[in-house]
Amino acid sequence: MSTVPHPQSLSDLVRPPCLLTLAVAAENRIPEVCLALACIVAPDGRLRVLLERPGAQAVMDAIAAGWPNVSVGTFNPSNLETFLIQGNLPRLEPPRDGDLPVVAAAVVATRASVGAIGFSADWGDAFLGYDEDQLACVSVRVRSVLVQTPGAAIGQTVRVRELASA
Amino acid sequence: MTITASAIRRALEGVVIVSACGADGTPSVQLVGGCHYVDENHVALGYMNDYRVRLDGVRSGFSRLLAFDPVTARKYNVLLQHVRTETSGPVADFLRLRVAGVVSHQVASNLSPLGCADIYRILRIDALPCLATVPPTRPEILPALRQAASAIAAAPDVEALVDQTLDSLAGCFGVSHAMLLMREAGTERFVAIDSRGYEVHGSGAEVAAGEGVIGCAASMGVAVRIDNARITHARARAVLETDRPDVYWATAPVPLPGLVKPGSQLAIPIPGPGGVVAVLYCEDVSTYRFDADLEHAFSVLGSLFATALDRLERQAVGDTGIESRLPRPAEPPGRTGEPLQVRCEPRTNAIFVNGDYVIRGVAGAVLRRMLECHASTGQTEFTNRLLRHDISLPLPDLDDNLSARLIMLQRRLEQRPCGIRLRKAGRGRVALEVDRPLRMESEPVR
Repeated sequence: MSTVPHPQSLSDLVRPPCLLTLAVAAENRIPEVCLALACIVAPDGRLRVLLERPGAQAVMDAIAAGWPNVSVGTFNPSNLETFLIQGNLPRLEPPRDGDLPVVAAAVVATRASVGAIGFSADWGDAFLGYDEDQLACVSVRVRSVLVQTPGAAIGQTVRVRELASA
Repeated sequence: MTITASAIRRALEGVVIVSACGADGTPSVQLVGGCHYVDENHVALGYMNDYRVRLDGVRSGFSRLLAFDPVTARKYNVLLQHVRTETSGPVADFLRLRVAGVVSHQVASNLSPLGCADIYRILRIDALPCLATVPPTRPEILPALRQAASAIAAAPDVEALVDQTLDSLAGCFGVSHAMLLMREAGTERFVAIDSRGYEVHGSGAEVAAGEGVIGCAASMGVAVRIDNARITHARARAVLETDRPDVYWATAPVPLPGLVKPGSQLAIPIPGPGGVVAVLYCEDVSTYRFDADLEHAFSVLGSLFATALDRLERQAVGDTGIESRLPRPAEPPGRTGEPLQVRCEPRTNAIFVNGDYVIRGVAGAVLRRMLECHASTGQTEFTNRLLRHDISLPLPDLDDNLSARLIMLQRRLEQRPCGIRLRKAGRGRVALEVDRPLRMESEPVR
């Protein structure tokens, strides 16, 4: 597997206005998957994935049951770039102070960007709507990042600065 | 309550996130353009690349979808089991041609970036909680269909039929851009009869079978619906790695009208004796403008159009055009001025007036015949019946749709003024109007 030559920052890859998803491999190699609201790269290098509990319950149950492998999918509506962030050792964590403003900013940016792929603001509101009281968090140790954007580089590994220095 | 695939078809065909697990236990997850609804128990996923998520789904046997309704934003969780992978056959061919169609519709490429279609059985569908949804705004389909069907049935002739069909799309269904194309007899080309909503009508513009969304529908004989042309087009271009500018048929002798950046496209093939006889094409700047229900409704309209066309053409064949059964006296050849130079290419029946392309094919042969008659005898009125029986014209049988071709020719001459016009001169008759004397190639100047 070749490597994409230009280094990227993990923060850049998950920066709004990306649509984010979190998947966990569960029993019988059947995955559970949910939408994520925002991602934050923690000081220890772990990726904190912020979720709304009702839509993410199956994913959180699988993680609570000890399934160790997860992935975060990113899709940027403004340039259609998409990456697969592979990780493991997921942990359910309580949300932290400062998470809600991050989620709010990410949702506003993403809602605006879905217009680029043909969706209305009303649709974006409904699609990204969340209950602040239901915020949840999964933190993940990132192992690798792959290009998923259709084209010649698909499947190639992205050199991520945070991983290189880890 | 069990949720059926047909109940969430719009979501399945809308925005879909696919997830699967690799052999090492690592999941993959990817947003794809939408599933292809196969039947109540199956969907197909078509990929433009060997995505990791595709390989994982096929090898593990399972995929999980998050499907989002592109209108209401309702969310569904769908569990799928892989059944088989098809590299040919109706579903794979359709998906391949559909992608190739949207690409070639815009970048004049006939390359297909789609490799195969994975057929999955639907094991389970669950609705996910939603804080809010968007109410659908589409008008009720059945009342609109009834109104359109009545208008089509009431059309007294083919010209009215063409107009009623296109006007009904706008008036009853709110379609902003539409065109009607008919197969050129004995060829794999489809010629635009008329359109609505564009700056230019494009009568006489041609699309080859297999070319673009329209040609794809014509060659496959199935409706082709592109719900989100922006994503499909951008991804297909990325796979093809093409930087070619959009061309939109601009280099064709008669440019096909079209939106520069369509959001939704729908091409409905209209079946007739011997295959697809016409294609009804609709597009809109909005994404997800046409859904499966509208596709079905427009297919019904297409069938009604075909039935009415057959009836009216048969009526026209039996129409003697009594008033003009005998040739009318020639009009006085009093026109003056620089002659119009008319050249005909015998192989294609292409007609050029003063060097500019006008039309070709059957319509070109008909125009040439009328101009030759006019140049030699001064005749200005022609009955459909006499044209139909003119052995010099390539009109094989009843399926020639002569009336529709005359309408297309009449509108082409209106849209591209060249000193020659056609107008209706009563039932089953057309009148030729020529502003200046004609100089037929190799013919003496009148």
